[in-house]
Amino acid sequence: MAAVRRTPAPPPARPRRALKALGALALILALGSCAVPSAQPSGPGAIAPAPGGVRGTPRGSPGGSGPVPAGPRPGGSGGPRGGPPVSLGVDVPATPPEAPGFEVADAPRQVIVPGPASPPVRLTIPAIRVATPLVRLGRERDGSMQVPADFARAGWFAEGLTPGQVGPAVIAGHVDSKTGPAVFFRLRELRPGDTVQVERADGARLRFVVEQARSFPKATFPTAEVFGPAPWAALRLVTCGGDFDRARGSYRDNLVVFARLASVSR
Amino acid sequence: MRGVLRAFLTVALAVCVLGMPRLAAPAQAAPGDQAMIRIAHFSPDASYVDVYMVSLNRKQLFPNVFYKGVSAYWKVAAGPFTYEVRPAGATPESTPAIRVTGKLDAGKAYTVAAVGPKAQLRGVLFRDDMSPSAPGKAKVRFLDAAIDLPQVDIALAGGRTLSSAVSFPQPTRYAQLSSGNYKVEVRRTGAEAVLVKGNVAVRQGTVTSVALLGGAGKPRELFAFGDATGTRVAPSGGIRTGAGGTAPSSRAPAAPVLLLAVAAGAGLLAVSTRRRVRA
Repeated sequence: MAAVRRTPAPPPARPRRALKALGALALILALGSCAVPSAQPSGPGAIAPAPGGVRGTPRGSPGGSGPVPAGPRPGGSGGPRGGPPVSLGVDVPATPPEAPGFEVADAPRQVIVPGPASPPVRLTIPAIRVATPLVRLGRERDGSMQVPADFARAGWFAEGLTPGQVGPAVIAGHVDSKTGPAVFFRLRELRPGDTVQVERADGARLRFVVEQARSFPKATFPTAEVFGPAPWAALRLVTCGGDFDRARGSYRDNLVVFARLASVSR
Repeated sequence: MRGVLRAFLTVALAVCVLGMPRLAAPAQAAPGDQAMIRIAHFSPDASYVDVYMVSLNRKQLFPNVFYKGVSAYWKVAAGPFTYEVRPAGATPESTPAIRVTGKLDAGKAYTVAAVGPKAQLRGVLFRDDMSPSAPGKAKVRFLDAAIDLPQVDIALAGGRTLSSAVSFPQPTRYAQLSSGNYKVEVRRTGAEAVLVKGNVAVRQGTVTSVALLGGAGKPRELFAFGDATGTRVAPSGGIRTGAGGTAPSSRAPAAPVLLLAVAAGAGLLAVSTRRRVRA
């Protein structure tokens, strides 16, 4: 249980009525039919899939989001009741209120590919001109992950999760062969926001967005971070980096690019 | 001219040997200072509410969140945050029905939920543990968000007790289970009669929360929602994805170095030519 604190709400501000009414009208017009309920009642265990966009467009003026004062106080918290009458319990959605400075959007929904899992067959990364079929990878006898035999192709860890399911799907490719660059030679150039596309055997086309890229020594490879639980449909692209250890014939580091599913099309 | 050429080659060689570039540093975002959070609405009779989330980097309003709505996680800056709940459509200046302030630790995941009857709404913030389950197992925890239930024990039908003395509105610790479909029974602590029962299905590698919901006119039930999913059996250690063909010293210098050498040589050439002209 994290520390939670309850504080009284600040005194209500006195808005300028006319301006506010005008703003409200403008907002209503602007929102139009976008104002849909953000979280529909759903069946047990259901996580609403929303292919094609998790969030609405941020609206409202880009106001200052100043720091929030928070003080130490343990324990649970409740809400201060009283003040203006609060009418909870109405079973109809309402027009979102005017809230200057706030991004107004549906609560984030899980983006997944609905239906059964299907293996990824092709990987495209426009920013670094990667376009490769995907081979299937398992584990070696020593428990480590197999790598593609073909330096020009990337491979998907088929004993793990499938792109489009909640959890981490892992794709590995060589940075180089013995003679020159291989399929993931330019992986190090990827930056947050770059697009990574995966095509599955069922025809689903998945667009992932890079969140971060990090290097780890192989000796302390963070298996939990790369293969462990992820709360959304995730993709990890792995190659080698750092110094090349000639005695072992192996790079010392792994470069891991972390990406998150943003949208799905067929 | 031979002297110039020799100077050029010397400089080029020096650049190649001394200025050998290391592999460029990989893209380094700074996500270490972010936390993951999601919102949940478990108040059976509060219906539609507006949820305000203010963190260090974002001010967000999620309108019309409904009972049993659980959002996906999203990332916000770690640090202080405020969660407020108002009736749907209420102005942001109005007194919130819930106001919770707390602090989010970098790299951690949280759920903030509205619980209780509408007349006694309260917010709870709790940590979600996304560390891997034991090999071949799934992780499950329970949250008692049902109204008017006594302290309860939660057990698998005909067997193992998963959590005992669970009370509103605290989450239990995660229990490790094998894959399967389980019948789960909820009893008053120490008593025999089953108050609520339901089915919970889990798969290897998954992390699941199950909320005990209902009361105030809504049916009592077990409501399962996923926290995260991990690889069933992860491979061990690093991944051997390189043969060294582009590693420094095993091949001709990379193009930028050559360019640099050529540029340096050209500069030297220019300088010595001018000198010669002067002389």
